[in-house]
Amino acid sequence: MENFEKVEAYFNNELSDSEKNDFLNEVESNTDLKSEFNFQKEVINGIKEARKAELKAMLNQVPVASVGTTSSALYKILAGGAATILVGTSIWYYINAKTNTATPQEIKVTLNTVAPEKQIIEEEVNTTQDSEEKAVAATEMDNTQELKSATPKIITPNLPNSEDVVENKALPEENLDIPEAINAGSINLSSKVNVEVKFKKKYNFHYQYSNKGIILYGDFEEGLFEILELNKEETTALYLYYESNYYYINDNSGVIKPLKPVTDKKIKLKLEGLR
Amino acid sequence: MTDQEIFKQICRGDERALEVVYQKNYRMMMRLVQNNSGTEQEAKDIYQEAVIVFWQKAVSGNLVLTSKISTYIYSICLNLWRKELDRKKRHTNEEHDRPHFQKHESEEKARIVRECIDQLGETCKKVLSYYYFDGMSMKEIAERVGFANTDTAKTKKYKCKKKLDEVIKSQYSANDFLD
Repeated sequence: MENFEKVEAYFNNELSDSEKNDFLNEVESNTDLKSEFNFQKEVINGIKEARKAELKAMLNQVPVASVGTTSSALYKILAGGAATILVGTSIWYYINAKTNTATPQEIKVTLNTVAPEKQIIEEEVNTTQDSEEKAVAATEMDNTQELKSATPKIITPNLPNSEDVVENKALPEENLDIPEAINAGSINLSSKVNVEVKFKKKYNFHYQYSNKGIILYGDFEEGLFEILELNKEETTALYLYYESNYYYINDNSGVIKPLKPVTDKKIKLKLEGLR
Repeated sequence: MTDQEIFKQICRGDERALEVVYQKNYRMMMRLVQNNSGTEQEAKDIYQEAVIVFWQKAVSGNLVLTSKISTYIYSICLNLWRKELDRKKRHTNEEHDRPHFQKHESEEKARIVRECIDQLGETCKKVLSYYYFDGMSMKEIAERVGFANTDTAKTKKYKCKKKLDEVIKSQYSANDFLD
């Protein structure tokens, strides 16, 4: 039997225990056989490595979701952004109040252009609740007072549904150089809400919103999600952004609800701007 | 597709089923390593190694799946990563240099073998890979490659191996290939 066949038989596990022992003893004493043995061992290792490399190359071609920024890290970033905007907005209001006191003419023009939009809001509100009329009336009264006192205090009416957040056009956008982030109106990026993800067979794409925070039910491990917040003076509307879609998080009763996509183009546009 | 269905396909040597498993568990396994002091690259390496171990065991018929595929791969990842962390903990600069050198050497040998296998043609490449790496039986190799019977597969494997040895010996000196 040639050395090649002997070594082959050994690596193919074709030898009995005693034959194996004899073979290994011969390897130690026969230099040619030892050389052939080492050579084939390396070749077999090479074949294995080559196949492993082939499989790895195949796996590298498989499209996979990125595991970069974790959602908690994203929240931290968003929290930073929210704080910046909050501080920025406060400073702007402060400066703006002073500027407007100094230039009453400018304020007058601004408020005049705003008036028709207020009426539209009022009409919408009238069709829903009486109590909202009072709110709008109060707003109008505030505006009148503002005209008299020339203090640009911005108050938006309380709308019946937090989903229907109306853009606050009362800001004198055209007359002032407002940073883009603040220009979005009374909008904030959110990070204040605690968010938790849970898996339950029954709830595959749901949320539970209470004063403790938000629990998302479903396979949210597949992609990054964000919780966005649109703030009005007293109310806050929350939205989930996940896989290129926005979803309402508007029921804070603590009951588990399905996530429904945002259909309102205005809100979508605003959320898009936020992101 | 259920785990059992995927597993059956993998046992039959279906690489697409392995891709499904890889994709499905990617984030979980990456996080396992990354949340335990691993870099993204380390996580990927460990995960790929684990998936390949799973593949080898399944294809060679040495695995009876009693848990979910993800659980099985997770435990391999965990073990591999623990070993790697132990190795990192132990290693001194001198020890660090040695494995690096050895790794480079074995990579070079693998490159030579790969280059020579490619010269033999696709059938030989498959037969040798399936036999030595995947641990398939001659029957399975005959079925997968399309040989008439196991004897044909056995003869082909013998010839391919002999040819590979000859090609390597003719193109590379003993110094290139042997220690």
